[in-house]
Amino acid sequence: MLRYFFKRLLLFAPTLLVALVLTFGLSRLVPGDPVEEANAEEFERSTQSEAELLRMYRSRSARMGLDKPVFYFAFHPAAYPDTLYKIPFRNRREVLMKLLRQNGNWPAVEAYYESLGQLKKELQCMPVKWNSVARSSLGQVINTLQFSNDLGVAQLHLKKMAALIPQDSMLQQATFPTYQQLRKSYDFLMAHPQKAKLYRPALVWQGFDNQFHQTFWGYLQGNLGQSYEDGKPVSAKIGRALSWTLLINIFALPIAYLLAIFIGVRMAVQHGSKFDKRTNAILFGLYAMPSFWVALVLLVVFSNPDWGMNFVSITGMMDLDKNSSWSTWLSVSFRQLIIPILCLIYPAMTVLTRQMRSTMMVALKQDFVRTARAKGVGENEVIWQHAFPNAAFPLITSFGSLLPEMVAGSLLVENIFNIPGMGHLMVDAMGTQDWPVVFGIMLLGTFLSIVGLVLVDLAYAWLDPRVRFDRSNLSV
Amino acid sequence: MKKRQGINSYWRNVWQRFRARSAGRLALRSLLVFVLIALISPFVANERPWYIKVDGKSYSPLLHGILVDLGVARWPEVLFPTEDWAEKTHQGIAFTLIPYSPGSIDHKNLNARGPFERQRVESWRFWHWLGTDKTGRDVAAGMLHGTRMALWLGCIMVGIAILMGLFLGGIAGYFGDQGLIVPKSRIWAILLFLPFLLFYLAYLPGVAEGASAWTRGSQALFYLVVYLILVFLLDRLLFLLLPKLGHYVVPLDTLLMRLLEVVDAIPSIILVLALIATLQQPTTTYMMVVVGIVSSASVARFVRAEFLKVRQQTYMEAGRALGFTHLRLLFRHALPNALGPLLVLLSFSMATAIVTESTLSILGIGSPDRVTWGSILGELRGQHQIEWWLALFPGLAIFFTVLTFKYLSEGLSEALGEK
Repeated sequence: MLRYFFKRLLLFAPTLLVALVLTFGLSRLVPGDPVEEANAEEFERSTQSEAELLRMYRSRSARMGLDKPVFYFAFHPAAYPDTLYKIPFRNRREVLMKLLRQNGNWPAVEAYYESLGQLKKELQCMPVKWNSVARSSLGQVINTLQFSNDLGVAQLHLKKMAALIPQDSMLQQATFPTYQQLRKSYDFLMAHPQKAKLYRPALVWQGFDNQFHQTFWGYLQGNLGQSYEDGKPVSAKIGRALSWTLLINIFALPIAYLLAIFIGVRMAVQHGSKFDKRTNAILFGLYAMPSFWVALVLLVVFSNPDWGMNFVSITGMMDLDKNSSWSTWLSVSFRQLIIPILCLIYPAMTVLTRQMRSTMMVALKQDFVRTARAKGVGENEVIWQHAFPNAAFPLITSFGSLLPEMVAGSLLVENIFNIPGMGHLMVDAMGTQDWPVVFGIMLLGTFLSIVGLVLVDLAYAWLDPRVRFDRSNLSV
Repeated sequence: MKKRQGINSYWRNVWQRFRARSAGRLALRSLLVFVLIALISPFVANERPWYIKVDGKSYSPLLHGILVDLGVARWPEVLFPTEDWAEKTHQGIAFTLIPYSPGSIDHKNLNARGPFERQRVESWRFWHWLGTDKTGRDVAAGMLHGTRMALWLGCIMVGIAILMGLFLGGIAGYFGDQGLIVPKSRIWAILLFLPFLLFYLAYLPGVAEGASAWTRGSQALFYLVVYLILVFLLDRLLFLLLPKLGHYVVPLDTLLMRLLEVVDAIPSIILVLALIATLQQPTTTYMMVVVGIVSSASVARFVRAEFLKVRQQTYMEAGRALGFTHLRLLFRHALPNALGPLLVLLSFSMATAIVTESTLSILGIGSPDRVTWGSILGELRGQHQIEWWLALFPGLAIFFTVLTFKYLSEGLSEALGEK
């Protein structure tokens, strides 16, 4: 049994590994700059001076470990620089990449972009009292150029600059040399494109000190990173939420199973009777009723003080705080959770009952059932001791697929009833673009459903020795 | 000729068995009603009138608007700069049955007016029969448009899920672990050039910034063709140089199933949400594409099981013995025999698609750029008072559509003798 357990565990290890890699990959694909998003307030408060922004970005990104290469190696055109990830601000990085994709000459592109930044810095360093129309329009042109990815259009802007600078003597004094440098670097860039380098792939080894390496070891040690929202560790946030999700599921799952077993078995035993037909029709109706709608309607009905059924409060579990005594805590959570749990039970129950009925009907037609009856075994014993154990296997299998489904179901129910569980956290995090939380929940959900699958396999092996001793099963 | 007849009579039998059950007939009829509503909805609920007479000239803004949407005509902005049709001076006007578009905002009836509450309308002609939502949009118009969206989004999702699932599951089930035998030289050629193909597809060097999807697509196709030619040439060359290289048996089934296992292990709604997070513009249509891709895993699993069954049949063995090509066996022999169960799955998936769309809308995921049943329901989220008309009508619509598709799939599976 132990041997079988480890074999199963080993089988799921690559799945988990691929899921980890997938999660990491997705987390790098999300739009927006993580450094800016995590420190949005600080960036907004800053004085907007170029030099300070760059310094701030560099220090924050180093703290978040984002100043490292993404992966062990990179496979990109030979024209691309090796230290792209070090350039501050994602949108600037993208503009630079687009310029590079048109030209292919990295040193020239970098020199052009840097002299543009230099010009901006010098413009900002000029004392405030020298303010003029030409100065502010020059600032605007520089800003446009910094985010323009068309080299042809850039020429027009440069001409505009050349016309603006002589309008103000102070401006000319402060910025003209840098402007000339910019103009020179632009001309050089246009004169020396290296487009062939764009077609040549290059494989670059970037070392072990990279983002993937760091994140991956973090994941393995249970460190899911820090939330962008409040800087707290994601694992602590998810842990608190997980307890709520588990709480409602711990009630919902066993009740769903028990109901399904009793109703399903009774339907199969009384196959074709009025009870069977009626229950079947009801189940089909329930099956077609989307659970979010039922949840919404129940919430609407039970939360309305006008109808005298002020049973559930819309704000959900948010009413509770740390200071409330355990008795109020218990009563509030009972009142708040009973309808969400009902909403979780019924979709699972309908599926399971239909399944139970059909497998039980097959089991009741088996030879050993007839033999048992012929032997004079009591009907109850025939049903529960002989037929049921054989019919119960598909129920165990569906536990594996039900677990992730329950997570999905609680996602909806938690959001509708405002229960601060994992699903609620996930949707909130998506709204505030708190990606570490989103991907942390994705990992945890994967881990939980893999645990569910392992449990199913173990239950199978425990109940049916054939599975345990079947060699072919072990070698798969 | 004879064979064609055989196929026809099989499907005729299925059709007769399907029609014999009243539930199936009813489901089919209600599906037709839904399709009809979807088709005529822009002609029933539209703020633009059928007919308007201005300065002695007659116009049909509704038909003109449809031509504009199709890109055939241009909107006469000089003549009709605003869309306040009722306020326009005219000599004659004929509105549609519901004189509101799904997205048009009635500023006099904001904050969800119910059908029986007091509405500030000029005459009964402009009454909101199913009320308005919080932003003042007409619910009846939204419901009609929602039907259109539900079917359209369902088709997108199911189409992608079925195509991808059919491809992956089909080759996994058809070839199994032993079925795909490839010369070593070809595998080497494929693997040798693969990194280069991926490089050129990922970076598309030579394509200008902001190029259209067409240019990008054709460039990608060009690289793909070059890749295939190179693989072919290298394969031939290796074969000529080392004729006794031998073959690899590709365990295609195991490889694909392990891949599906990963997708299955991640709870699907969480995977969908995480994938949506990576979209630059999470419009409803893109979201359904994502849902389609995720649910293709379960379709693939189902198709694989069907193809594994078909593979064992004697007619497949006969085909193999006769030396039919893989393509012919797959499309002429295996696919038609797996079509029935696929139809059942298709109809079932439509129900799932509609529920999924509504779920995402209710959760407030993505940008609500279109009015759907789910987006009307979603208005109720976090509300402090009930607007029963916002819950009841879309809820009923979803309930009946889901019921229709589920009855359809039950009826189909019984007609096909699945049970």
